[in-house]
Amino acid sequence: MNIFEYFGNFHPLVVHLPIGFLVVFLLLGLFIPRQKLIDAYSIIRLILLTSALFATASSITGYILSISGSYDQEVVSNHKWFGIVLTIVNWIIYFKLDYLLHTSIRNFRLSLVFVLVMLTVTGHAGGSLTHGSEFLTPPPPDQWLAFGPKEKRKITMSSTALEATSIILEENCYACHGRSKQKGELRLDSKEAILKGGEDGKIIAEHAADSRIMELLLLPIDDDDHMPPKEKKQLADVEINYLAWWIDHAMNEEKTLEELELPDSLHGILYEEEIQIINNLVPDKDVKEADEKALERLNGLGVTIFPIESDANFLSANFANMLPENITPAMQELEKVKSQLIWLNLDYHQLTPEAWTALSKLENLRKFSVRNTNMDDEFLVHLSPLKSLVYLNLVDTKVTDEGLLQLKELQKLESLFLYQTMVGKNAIASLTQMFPLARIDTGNYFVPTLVSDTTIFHK
Amino acid sequence: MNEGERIKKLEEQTRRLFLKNCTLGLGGLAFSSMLGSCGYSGSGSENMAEMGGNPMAPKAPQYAGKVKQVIYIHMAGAPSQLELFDYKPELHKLDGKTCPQSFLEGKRFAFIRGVPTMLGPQAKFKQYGDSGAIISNYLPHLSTIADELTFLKAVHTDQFNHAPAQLLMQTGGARLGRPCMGSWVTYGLGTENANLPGFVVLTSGGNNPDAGKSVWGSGFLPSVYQGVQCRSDGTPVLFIDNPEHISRESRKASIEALSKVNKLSYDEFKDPEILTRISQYELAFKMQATVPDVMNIADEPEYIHEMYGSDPNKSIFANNVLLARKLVERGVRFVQLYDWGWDTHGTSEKGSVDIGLVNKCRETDKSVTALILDLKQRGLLDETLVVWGGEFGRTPMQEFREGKENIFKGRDHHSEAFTMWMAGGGLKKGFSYGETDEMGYAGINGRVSVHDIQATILHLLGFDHEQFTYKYQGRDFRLTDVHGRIIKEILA
Repeated sequence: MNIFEYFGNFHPLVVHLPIGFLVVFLLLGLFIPRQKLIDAYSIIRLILLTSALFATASSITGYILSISGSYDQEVVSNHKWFGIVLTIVNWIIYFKLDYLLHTSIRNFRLSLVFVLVMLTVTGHAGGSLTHGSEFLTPPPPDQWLAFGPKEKRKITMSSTALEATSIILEENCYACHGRSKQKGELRLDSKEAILKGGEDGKIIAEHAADSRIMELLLLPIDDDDHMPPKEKKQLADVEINYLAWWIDHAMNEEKTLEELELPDSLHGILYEEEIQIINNLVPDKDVKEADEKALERLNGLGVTIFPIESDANFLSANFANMLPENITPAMQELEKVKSQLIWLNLDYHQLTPEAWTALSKLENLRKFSVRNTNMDDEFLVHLSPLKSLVYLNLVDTKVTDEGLLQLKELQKLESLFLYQTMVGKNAIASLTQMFPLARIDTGNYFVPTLVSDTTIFHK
Repeated sequence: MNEGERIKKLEEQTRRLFLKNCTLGLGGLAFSSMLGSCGYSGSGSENMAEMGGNPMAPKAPQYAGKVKQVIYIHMAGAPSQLELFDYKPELHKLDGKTCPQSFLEGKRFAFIRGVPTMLGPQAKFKQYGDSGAIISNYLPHLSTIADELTFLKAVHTDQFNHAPAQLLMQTGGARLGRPCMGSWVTYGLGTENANLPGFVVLTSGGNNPDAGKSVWGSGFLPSVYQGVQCRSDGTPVLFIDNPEHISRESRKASIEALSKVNKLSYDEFKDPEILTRISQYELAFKMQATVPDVMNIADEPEYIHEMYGSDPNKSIFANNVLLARKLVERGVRFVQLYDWGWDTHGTSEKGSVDIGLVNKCRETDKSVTALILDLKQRGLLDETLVVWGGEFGRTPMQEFREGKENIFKGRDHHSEAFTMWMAGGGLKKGFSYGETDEMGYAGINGRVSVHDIQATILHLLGFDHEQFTYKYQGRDFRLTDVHGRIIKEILA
């Protein structure tokens, strides 16, 4: 950049000064009676002189900027000529102000209209140059009242490779290398344009590793040649890696990412779908709300009962805070919420036979824990109607292999915990046959003590 | 609060009350926190002050979580990933060679000045289990359960000093004043066992973590959600017994009377801190009955002590691990363990990666392994999340403090890459995510940030970390601030 080109950069600054003064001139001319304008003759002349001088400065700096060449020549040419005409008209009004005000007020009004039109047209052409031609295009009426984040194009596995590339480039590069601006005479908004390259030649080679575009992206951010420029939004690592992958796949256009087998490490470019939560412990379909009175009574008995998720009606009940005398009535009361109740925890309690019997009604239970209770083979039979059970924790109870035979209908069981029960390790084989889906754990794990566990290491 | 209530409230602000508040000094503060609203958007949970009930009552998360409780084992001081999980044979070859400029240019380290040398791995590594996880000979027990663990091999942080890094890891911000993870979780989920605190903190290793008690503070959340620190030797909770000549009945009567007075005061001022006080008194009373039983590890059978390597007569990490299992078993929501002494700079034998680190591993390896297996056999590993990690990693370079080589083998603080692991429900077991470069200096793929880990933990508990907020000083705060991505690659 030489010193002239440097002055060219001041165009966007200087250009706003004549605009301001001309607007003042327009306001005065349009709204102040003629006689008062004549009284303020010297002030108006001063305003016009200032605007004309700055308009001239704008034309000169603008011309310098335009020949630096990174703009759409057609739009530049319009803007340039409009600007020059406006400057000349400005000077004419300045020199002929006396005549216009005293002799021909009609011509004065005409000149005002002309300035207004030229100012608008020139400004618009200039705005399109800096911000792109669509910058001032209003949105379609149906979007006028749409607030909130705007919808972006999404990359999915069914996007074609070219689509994915264009989405990444649009977001990061088009502003300077697109339709309305071509810094370094480079456009990136079509495959042909990318292949063509810019003023420094081609940016794509046969391999990504030899391609100039990759070099520019990968240079340290402080390097003057690094792209995008330091102060602009940077590409994510995965986006850069994707571009390299795309170049190495011969810049494929039609095939989808699926067909091209996009490697896992590049999945970061994909639009993140909401995470699907698969949880067999919760039914897919919601149920109606639980009876409020029953819930109140259960709460009164000391049952900790609450919804499992905030937008569904399924309930979890825990007897952790119960007094022993309330357990039997509470178990019987649970029947009233049996369609909602899917998780139940009775750990550390001794239940009466009546309380255990009440269990058989709770047919929607999916998760059930009776660790450290008086559960035994006799009471286990009440579990047989609970065909939805997925998780069953019988740790520290008196159940045996034989007792478990009563549960053979619980075909949905996925986890069965039998640590500290009478079930031996050798029963696992037959149990696995009985519950094909289940992970059966009889525990008794041990961590051996090594010499090193109790000694201090020295060198 | 609706408009009518608000006006009524304002009418109550009489001149007499104003003067009373002035003399009390803190009245204004009470009023301001009364206006602050709690409750996370998109859920049915209600403003605590409006509930007027028990702030620790169990609440539903946004969706059914895969886990219900968390045991977070924080190795304060930051263990060296290069001696434990992140095996770098190339680093071995460069042992003693000068560190390349690219590792130093534009970088800042806590202590390294000048040009240090590289330090090869001091441990021996092997692959274990069906998953082929790489674990060093420093952890002979953990390696036997490799298939239960989920490794994050390229965690990064943006802090390289202990206190801010610990705060970032636990509270989502490197500066003081924000609630820690345990507080967020108990605020969001409450706790199912009303007789025990929802959030318990146990420390070992001779010191509290460098960031002090703020790492288990409740920040701007009501203080009922702060971590309850229990002692690791003697009686776990001080002054749990009634004083002489005070019976349980008279204690009960006095606490009931106090609660009544406090309730009146709450009805007048609606200050949630009063609810905190009421529930703390009631909890203390209930704990008098439950704590001696649950917190007493001496009653555990001998084989359990042998499995964990715990000893009720000593004050050691293994006791805390066993206690953590007992607490989780009884429904405590969040148990946070801090073990101090993992800072291996090479300035002393204790703080070296070839001696001190070996001994820290010996102190902790057996009990951590026992914890996973014990939770598993009790059917609790499915609904519990165990997290293990430090606040940052350690450099592939030998530490040169003030430009001179340290006397022992040691590594400086390193924020670019370190390893953490998790175990429990909802995770891919025997899975390793992320990879560092040949020197173990920085992550090259699968990099995850501290906020990503927090987002993932909240996700497993049933929260969308972007929706789980608390309004404070006019804006909605999140544990993950404005960051965080769920590490869905490790989810089952």
